[in-house]
Amino acid sequence: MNIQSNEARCTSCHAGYGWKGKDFDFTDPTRVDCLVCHEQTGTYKKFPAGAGNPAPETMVFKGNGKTYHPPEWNKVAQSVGRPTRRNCGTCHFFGGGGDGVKHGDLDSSLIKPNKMLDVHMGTDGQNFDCVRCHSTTLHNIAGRVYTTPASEHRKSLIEDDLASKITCESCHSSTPHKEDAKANDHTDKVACQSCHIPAFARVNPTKMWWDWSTAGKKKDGKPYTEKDELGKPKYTTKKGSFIWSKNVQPEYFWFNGSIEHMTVRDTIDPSLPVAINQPVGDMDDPNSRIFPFKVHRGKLPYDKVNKNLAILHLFPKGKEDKAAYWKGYDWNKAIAYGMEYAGLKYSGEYDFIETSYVFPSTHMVAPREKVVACAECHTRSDGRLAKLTGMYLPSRDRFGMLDTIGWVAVLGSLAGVLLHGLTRMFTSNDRKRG
Amino acid sequence: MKLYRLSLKLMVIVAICAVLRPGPVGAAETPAPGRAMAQQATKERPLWITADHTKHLILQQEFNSGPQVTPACLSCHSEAAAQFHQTIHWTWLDPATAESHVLGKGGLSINNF
Amino acid sequence: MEGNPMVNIYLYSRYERFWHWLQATLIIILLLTGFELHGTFALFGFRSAVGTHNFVGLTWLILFAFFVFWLFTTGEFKQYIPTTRKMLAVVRYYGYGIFRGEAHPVPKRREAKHNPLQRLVYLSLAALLLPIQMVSGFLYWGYNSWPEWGLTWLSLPVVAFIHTAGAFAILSFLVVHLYMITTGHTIAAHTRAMITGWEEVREGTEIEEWEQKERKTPQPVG
Repeated sequence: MNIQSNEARCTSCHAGYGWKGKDFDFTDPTRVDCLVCHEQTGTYKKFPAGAGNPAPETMVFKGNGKTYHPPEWNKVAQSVGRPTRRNCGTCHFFGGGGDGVKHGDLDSSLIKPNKMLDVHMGTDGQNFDCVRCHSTTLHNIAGRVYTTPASEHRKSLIEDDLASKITCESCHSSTPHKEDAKANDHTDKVACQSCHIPAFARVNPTKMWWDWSTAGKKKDGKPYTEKDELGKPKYTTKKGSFIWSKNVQPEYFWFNGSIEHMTVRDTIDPSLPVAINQPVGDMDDPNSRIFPFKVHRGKLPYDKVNKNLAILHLFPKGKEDKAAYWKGYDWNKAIAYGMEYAGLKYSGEYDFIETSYVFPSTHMVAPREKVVACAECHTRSDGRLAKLTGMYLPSRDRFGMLDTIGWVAVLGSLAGVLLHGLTRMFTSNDRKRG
Repeated sequence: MKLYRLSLKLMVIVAICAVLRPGPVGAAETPAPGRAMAQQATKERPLWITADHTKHLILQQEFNSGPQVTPACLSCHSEAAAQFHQTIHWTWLDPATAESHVLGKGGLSINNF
Repeated sequence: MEGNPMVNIYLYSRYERFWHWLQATLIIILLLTGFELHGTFALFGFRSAVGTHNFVGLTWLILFAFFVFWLFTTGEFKQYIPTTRKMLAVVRYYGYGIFRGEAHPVPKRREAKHNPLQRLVYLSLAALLLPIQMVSGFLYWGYNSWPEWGLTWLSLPVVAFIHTAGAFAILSFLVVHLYMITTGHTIAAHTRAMITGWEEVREGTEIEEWEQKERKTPQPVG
């Protein structure tokens, strides 16, 4: 999924006005949308197919049947202030096409959370806004950007009061546990998030699986939607089949803050699931720690001959745009249009392949009483770290041979002494007589 | 006679209480604490910065679109747009690979959503 | 020797008995918590088991130092000096002679409480197995301080291996020991000795006069 050829729909989350296509003037200062981040009335909404503009007049968006009104410009402009969770969340909670679809740890439940959902952002607690941790200087917001980690060092503000507050260590230091020194011994290899985010999507469900290959089926010639027990769509004609989950246990990987990403130009191996992005890190890297991730899996179309993932033209440019998948429901036409738009080749043959995409889980930090218990990782089987092999984890790992020999020795000793004792018992009568 | 005087006194007391009870009549008196806090939370906006944007004339003109509002902001916040233009929220491109126009929503990145 | 009446001799001093039972308790707690940490079973809960194992282990380490001090200052270390004299006789006794009611080839004496087999086993324990277990345990506990201590060449799997191997060895010893203590004059004789300090032996088995300490309460003999 890529915005090329779908700009008008996707850029409703661009902090700018009018990015409809390739001709958008990125140098125009008046096209910057200050209001989406700064306005505080809560009434400012961008029209879903408006290329970043709010609705110019009251209109309905056919995609969700909702009515959108143009903003009261003066009220909105005069309400500006520092961005709140609602400002950031208006885009970041709804990425991927809906509430909670993408990240797993970011959805509308964080607009007014309680401390059980997130200790920092809870309205019954400190009520942190995003910018409290995502330190911003000159509109540069702290956080990971693809391969660039959120922070190169993990300094506390006591060491350097001008350091970014994006890391847990900036406020909590790398030895925050007072009563439990052993927990402090973990912070060099286990990220804070691993123990303190036991599950994501704890209030609203998140999408865990998206199979595009099943899209296109209609009922009575019309697109339709099927819902699941959580009330979320499990099939839509436009997008395919989904699986939603709540209270999802993360998957854990070694992570040094950088994630490698594939582009449409990269060649894939169709015989294996494609990891579109991967956390960078390993156990011998002093900067790497075990980190929790949401792994979103699904099936995407790819170019069978050229062996690369495809750019899909989904959103129609006009009423007659049959090449758009959401009008013509023809994958070949949609892929051809999208790839040509991006200046890339398409062989004409496509198929579907399983893919995975990771998001680090760092929000929805649970209160300390809900911390992951020691035994959830330090356990022989089915632990949270069962898949993270290569390092010796006490209580999970052992030397099979040693255990075998050890128990043979112990049980052998037991057998031996039982035998000896029984023999003594049986021969004691003889001894008494003799 | 005694009963009559007693009931008269009672009626006077009730009348005085009726007049002096808290309510719209006593607007100048202190309202109940809960009411004051509720009004504070919903109606008043505590000002913690040095500007009150409702007082700026430039934000009181007629606006018909977003691109009309932005120049008004920039009239004071002159560097904001230039700053913002450098960031990924604007370009949708990874600054670490911007030249090859590759990584980024605005580039050739892909995800499985 | 057989047919002679039994006499009580004072074999084990107060400290000796105290240390025996204390160390036994510490080791049993360490075995229980240790095997839980190994993943063999769940009893105290992982976090509790870690805390207990750490505390008891470090306590044992410190108290063992006192034991070593006592061993040398009292001369009791001599009891652990290994010998091969009469070793075969002892092995033959436990493998064969004991079933035929034979007398123990090396009866206990105050200055020689341990028969040759015991000397070997207990020395291996006190000088080798237990110290290795304590050192490997201490290193395991101090894992996060290895760089500070200049031990960057150490590897956790190796330390864990040694410590686990030691645990199995100690457990095997415990099984055998709990049985061997029943091979006395009566089944409970050796246990009674380790509690009261007095062991019942046959008269005339080369006991020195000074060994026969006056008991506070008279004890029937024989």
